[in-house]
Amino acid sequence: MAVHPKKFARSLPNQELFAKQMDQRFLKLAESRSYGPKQITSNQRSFDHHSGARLSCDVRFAPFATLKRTGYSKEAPEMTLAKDLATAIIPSLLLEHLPKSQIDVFVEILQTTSAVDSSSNYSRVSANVLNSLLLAHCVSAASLALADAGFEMMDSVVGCNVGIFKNNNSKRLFWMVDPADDEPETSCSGGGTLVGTCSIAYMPSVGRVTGVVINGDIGDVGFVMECVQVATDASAQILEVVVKKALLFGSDFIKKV
Amino acid sequence: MTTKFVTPGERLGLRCNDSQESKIPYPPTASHGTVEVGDHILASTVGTVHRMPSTDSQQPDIIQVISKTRKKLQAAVPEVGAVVTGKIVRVNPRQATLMIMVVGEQPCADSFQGIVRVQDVRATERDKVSIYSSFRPGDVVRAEVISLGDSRSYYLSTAKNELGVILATSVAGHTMIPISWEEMICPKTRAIENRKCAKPVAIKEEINNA
Repeated sequence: MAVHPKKFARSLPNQELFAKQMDQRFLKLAESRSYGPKQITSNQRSFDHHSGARLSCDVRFAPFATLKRTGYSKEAPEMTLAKDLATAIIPSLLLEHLPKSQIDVFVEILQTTSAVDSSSNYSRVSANVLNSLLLAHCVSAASLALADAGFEMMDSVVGCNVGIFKNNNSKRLFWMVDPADDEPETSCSGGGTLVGTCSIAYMPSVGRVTGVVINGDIGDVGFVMECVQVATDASAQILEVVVKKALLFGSDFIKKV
Repeated sequence: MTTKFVTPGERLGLRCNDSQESKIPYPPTASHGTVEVGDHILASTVGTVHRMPSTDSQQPDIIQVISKTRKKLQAAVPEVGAVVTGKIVRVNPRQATLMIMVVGEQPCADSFQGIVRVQDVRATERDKVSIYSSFRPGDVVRAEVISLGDSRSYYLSTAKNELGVILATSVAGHTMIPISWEEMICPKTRAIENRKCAKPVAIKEEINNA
């Protein structure tokens, strides 16, 4: 889809839909909705209800989202994404203000080029690595939906991916921000192959990393720290360029163009 | 008063604490839609910043973030001391079950369950209260939250003059008129039914204020 993200944000009826720029040519679309606060349902009553609200996250691939059409049943990657999403979002929310209640977040991934099924592997990069790239987009979309719904939060959580590439000749590792999952090879920095990813969830104003998912060949600790640093810097820019604008257009503060 | 659009996490100012009191003469006080993180006040909701200068120079300014529309407000959650409005769904000799739909003047996203126990129906002669002569399923009741209760329900009380049934229909299906604090009459059939009626205090106060 060749829609400029800014135009897309303006054309939206509200900010439940959120587009995140993948690179200049490709957009990855995710739809995120939040509901609540509502009473905790009967099957979850064992939860300590006086300590604040409970966040339940659900991530789904639309059947038409992936390269190969999938069924409606919940797959392992969806569960992993949902669990990581909850971990990344919870620190930002002021859940102690909402005792005895529950917030539901539903993220539906509408378009991706990664394969849900690990058996239908089409590149040298494993499907797990590619699926972990989706986390950053889910985090941004979910946080935006929660802010739009009026939930109190410390800061917007913004996700960002860093791709770890290995130079084909020197076998040296290098990073690239926001790798496209259909580009497992790059000609940058003398050519390289995607060997791993580092996805982070970051609260730019508070300056706190709420989640890190590292996959594949990641090199030494110093290199990982470098990747995290790069991703946090990029997240701060995403907040300014995408998230704040989306919230501004989603609110009634200014008339929609 | 100045207005500025903010999103969650945007810094609004330094927080009022003892160590900084000497440096800043009047640090602002955080109010609705803000959160204190470390030494800073951050916005916690999407909206416009309202900084209200205090009338008293000894008091700090109040800083708050207000959403433009009611739609963007976070839906209400019952809390202790709040006056809630809801509908009676079940009654038994020990308690009446209420579906809480409004907290204060703000509607809930989803209804919460609350119970009015027999000892919390009225303030006097608690031992002579009968739930069946106080509430019927379908009554709209105003009550106060006395406790977050158990995992299932909030505990509510109607033991105040202005709390109790505010709308009820008779057996014949007509909206009844309260004739005393414990009786209502059907305008069509003239049948009298027992209810714990709420004193319509809010309307009276409004007239007095106007």
